[in-house]
Amino acid sequence: MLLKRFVSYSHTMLLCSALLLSGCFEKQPDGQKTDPEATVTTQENSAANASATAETAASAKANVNVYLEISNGMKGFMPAAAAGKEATTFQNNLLKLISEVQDGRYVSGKAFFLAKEDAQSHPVLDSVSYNTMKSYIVSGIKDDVRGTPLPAMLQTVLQKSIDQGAVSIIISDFIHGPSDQGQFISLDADIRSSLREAEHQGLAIAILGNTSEFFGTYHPAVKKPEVRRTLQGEEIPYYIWVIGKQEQVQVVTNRVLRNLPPQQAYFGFEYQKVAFTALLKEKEFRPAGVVYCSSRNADPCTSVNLQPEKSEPVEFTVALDLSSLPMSMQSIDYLKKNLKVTATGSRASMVSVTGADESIKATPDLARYSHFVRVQVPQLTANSGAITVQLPHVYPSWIDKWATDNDNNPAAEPKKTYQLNKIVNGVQALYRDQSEYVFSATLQFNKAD
Amino acid sequence: MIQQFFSGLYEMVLGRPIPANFTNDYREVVFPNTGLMLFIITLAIVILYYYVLNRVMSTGLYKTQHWVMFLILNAIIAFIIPVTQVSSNDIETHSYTYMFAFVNVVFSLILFFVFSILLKKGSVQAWTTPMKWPNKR
Repeated sequence: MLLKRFVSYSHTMLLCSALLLSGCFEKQPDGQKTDPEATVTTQENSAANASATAETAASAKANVNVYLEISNGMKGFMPAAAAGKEATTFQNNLLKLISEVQDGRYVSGKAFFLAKEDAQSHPVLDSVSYNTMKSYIVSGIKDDVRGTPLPAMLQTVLQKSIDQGAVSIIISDFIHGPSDQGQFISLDADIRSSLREAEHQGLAIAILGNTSEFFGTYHPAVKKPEVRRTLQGEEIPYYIWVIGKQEQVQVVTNRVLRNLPPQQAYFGFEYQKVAFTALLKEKEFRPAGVVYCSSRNADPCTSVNLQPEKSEPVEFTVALDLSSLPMSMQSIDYLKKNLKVTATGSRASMVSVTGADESIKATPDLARYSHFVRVQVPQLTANSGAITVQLPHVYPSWIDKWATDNDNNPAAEPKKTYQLNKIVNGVQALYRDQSEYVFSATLQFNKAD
Repeated sequence: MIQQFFSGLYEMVLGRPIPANFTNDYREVVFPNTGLMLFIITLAIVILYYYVLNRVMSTGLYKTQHWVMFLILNAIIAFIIPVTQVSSNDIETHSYTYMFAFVNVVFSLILFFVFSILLKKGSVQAWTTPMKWPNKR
């Protein structure tokens, strides 16, 4: 009797142990979570993704208004065509641009305007057809337009585009030609006032600087010693300004203008959500020192535990998806120079920035990230805190190089525009108080126990 | 609770998991799994030896050398479990993994001995294996 009971007892024990062995603490692959909470979040995520895709699909097209300034100062960019004479860079680029606007698939509505001034120096916008604008570009400007009241022109253009819900593409040499010379002194303030509406409406501005050969009469802003000069192919800068909603400006810069010059400046650009994660288990980005994700299966991992030692500082990689940023901001050199790693509760610094190469693009977990920032934390000063990777708004260095206080002799000092820095300062002042950073990604950390 | 107990137990001897980026995998999965399995398998083998083989079935495996055989069998299992746990959870293997397996073997020896002392009294043929103490009679 006792024996039998023992047998059944031992059987029960074995059964229990077998059950326990199979059941306890299984590591679950991310995709197979069954607890209801996780399922809900996944659904939410996919819903969010779906709406995001819809959003990008909707904004992938833009209404575009093209404004070509046709004062006498622009004539040299568009010399009349003759057989055996090569077109200027300006002509080539502009033809590509308006053709893309006319026939490109990323443009939903379009309008072309010639910007000039009337006898009272008031800006006038002439609505023209694609063909008219094309003929202006290829065969030159026949009109006689004296000056360019830059702030007034910008204001008129902006108002027109806001009324029509369009992105403005403004092409001009941006040489201010006021009727009253005193206006040069207040140029930055005037530019700011003229674009005030853009900031109010939450619009962003992209400025692209380029140069082109110039044939003909050049009208410098500084009229001494020469009031005008005749140039034979010297390089003169011209600018394309794109003003509109951030995502639409990007549609225009990335898909309509396509080949952007290296001189780019962006104002009012801000990215609230940039996907990022700490990479701790990837073989390509092996961390150093004591650091691990606070949650075992978190994806993305936005909270880490770390414990730097004197002999072994913590080093790990933060992956970021910056693919929606303007191209020039995505360049590794730019990010190396400007990206900032700041921290509360620790000392943290940036070691390196790398882009995604082919092998990374082929790794499913990494493919959604475009940039990889190596962060070093040699010391903690508190038990918890945050490490932030952020990109401040940076005043582009080319602006000052392209600006001059005397543009009277472009042959001696090529590729300069009179008071360009003042013009850009006016634009920058508009957005100065908006936000300090293009994006920022914040990782929480706790001291590892 | 169990997680903390087992990770505390192993980290007391082994120190922090290496590579450190898998700390949570060790603490939340590998340590508790290994510890629980060690406990249960050792108990099962001790029960098998004293109550099944040397009471119900009377197989004649009551000598100390037989007991040592089962002790070694248990030790081998105790070495294999941590290694499979680590590899099946996609954790990079490291010398730490094998140190961990070794420590688990040592734990298995101690646990097997302790269970033997506690449970051998109920056995018919093997109540003096591996030695008479602490039983009297």
